[in-house]
Amino acid sequence: MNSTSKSNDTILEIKNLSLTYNVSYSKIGNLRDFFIKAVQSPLRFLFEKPAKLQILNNISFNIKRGEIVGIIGVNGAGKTSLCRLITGMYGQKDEVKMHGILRAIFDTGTVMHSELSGEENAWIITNIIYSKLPKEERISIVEEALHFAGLDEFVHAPFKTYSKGMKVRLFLSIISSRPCDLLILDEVFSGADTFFNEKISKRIKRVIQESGAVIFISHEEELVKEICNRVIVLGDKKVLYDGDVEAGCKFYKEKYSGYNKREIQF
Amino acid sequence: MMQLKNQFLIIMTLTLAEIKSRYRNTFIGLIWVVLNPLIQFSVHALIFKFILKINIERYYIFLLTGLLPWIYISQTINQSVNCMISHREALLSFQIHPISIVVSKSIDNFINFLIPFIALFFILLPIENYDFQGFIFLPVAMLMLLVSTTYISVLLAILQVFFRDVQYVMTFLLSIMIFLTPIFYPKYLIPESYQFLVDLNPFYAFIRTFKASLWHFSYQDIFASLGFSSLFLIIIIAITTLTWRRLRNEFYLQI
Repeated sequence: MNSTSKSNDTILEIKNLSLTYNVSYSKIGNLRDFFIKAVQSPLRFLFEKPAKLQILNNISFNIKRGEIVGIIGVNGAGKTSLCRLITGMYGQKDEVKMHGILRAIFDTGTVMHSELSGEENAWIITNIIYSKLPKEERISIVEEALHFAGLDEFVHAPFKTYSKGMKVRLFLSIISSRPCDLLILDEVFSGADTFFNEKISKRIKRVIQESGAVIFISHEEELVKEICNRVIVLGDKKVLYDGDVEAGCKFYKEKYSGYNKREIQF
Repeated sequence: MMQLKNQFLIIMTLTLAEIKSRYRNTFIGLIWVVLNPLIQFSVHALIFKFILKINIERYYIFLLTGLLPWIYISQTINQSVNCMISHREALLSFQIHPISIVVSKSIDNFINFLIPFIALFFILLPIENYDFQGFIFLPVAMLMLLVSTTYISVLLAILQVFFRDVQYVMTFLLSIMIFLTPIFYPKYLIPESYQFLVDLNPFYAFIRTFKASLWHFSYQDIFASLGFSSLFLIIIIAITTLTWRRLRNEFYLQI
């Protein structure tokens, strides 16, 4: 079999992936509860199995080059957990095979050091996100992003003096600088409606188009329909639907139409 | 290998940011690096040399070789315990290894430790009949101090994510340990039957190497302290690695 051509167009392979959290850490509470529990039912206390919470059960899917996959599901369906697993934040898993460079952003407007200036923070973020690129490339990313964000005289001001909009603007300018093989964007547009302008939105859509493949998580149906060419619906710990965008969104809405309105937000 | 290089760049970036932001908005800035240990040293010297009149040859060197590593240990632990939680947002939004944040704190403090240590060298130079042989062991002593303190800090920072009691325990434990560790008094003043307890103190093992190489050089003392240090180092690395492996899955849930 020609495995090289396979690895060229399949960027991510996930096979029989499960995720279970041990939630007994958060269930212990404090010493008093612990003591009461031990005295009330000593046997159960001693032999009770640790509480488990299963998030994902036996999930398999592949992502090929050129696919922009929107992952949708109700709150708590495990979308972010799945993406964290893919990035390797939970340690290397055999069930996840990644071919190429992966870049993931889970939140925008995050600060490392609020005392430092915007430029210094831009450098920190760039070095973290683009640590694989050579220095000259990183210099041009920072310069270009600072210019694009249009911060002008604020570049040397401490980051703590920035408004939320300015932080998001700088941050999004940096992350949308370079494409990669697999780009994971977890609700990067959230809360951006008030601050967002056409310019940055266009730039992010461009980096999405240029990247090998994209996993896109959003609660906004319009965005998913506009950007993605494939939809995965997560629910009941499984992949409920995988395929066409229009049909996927329809399936999702029908499936959860019984839920109260707030919960089926995209 | 590539991964290691990336991690190194990230750690260096975080360390530099740490150094830059530490003294931003302070009036005397970097002078604090020297001033802080100098004040602590003066107070200890005043109390033990002039008030309690402790009778130890070259007491100032004895005190410095214990106090400087201790300041590094206690400051690193104090600053690291809560640092994963205080960088929570960043950890949740980028692919930064949580441990790299603690490592950068430790390196930052280590640089602060090196500066007064170099000053110590100039104090030693004019002393007559000073045996400079012990300097050979200094790099080993420093490396062991750096690695062990970093691993202890990583362990405490991870545990703090799951049990927020850790920082309270450490605050009071550190204030007790400065008295229980032979830093400003020599070990031989402790009643002989209790001296074995001091050997069980990992902090003492690392500080003892400094004392054995700079204050009163003897091969016997050096090798004994290096033996204990290596043993503690292995234990600390093993505990930290196992704890991280075990708790990693729930880390992002608890932070």
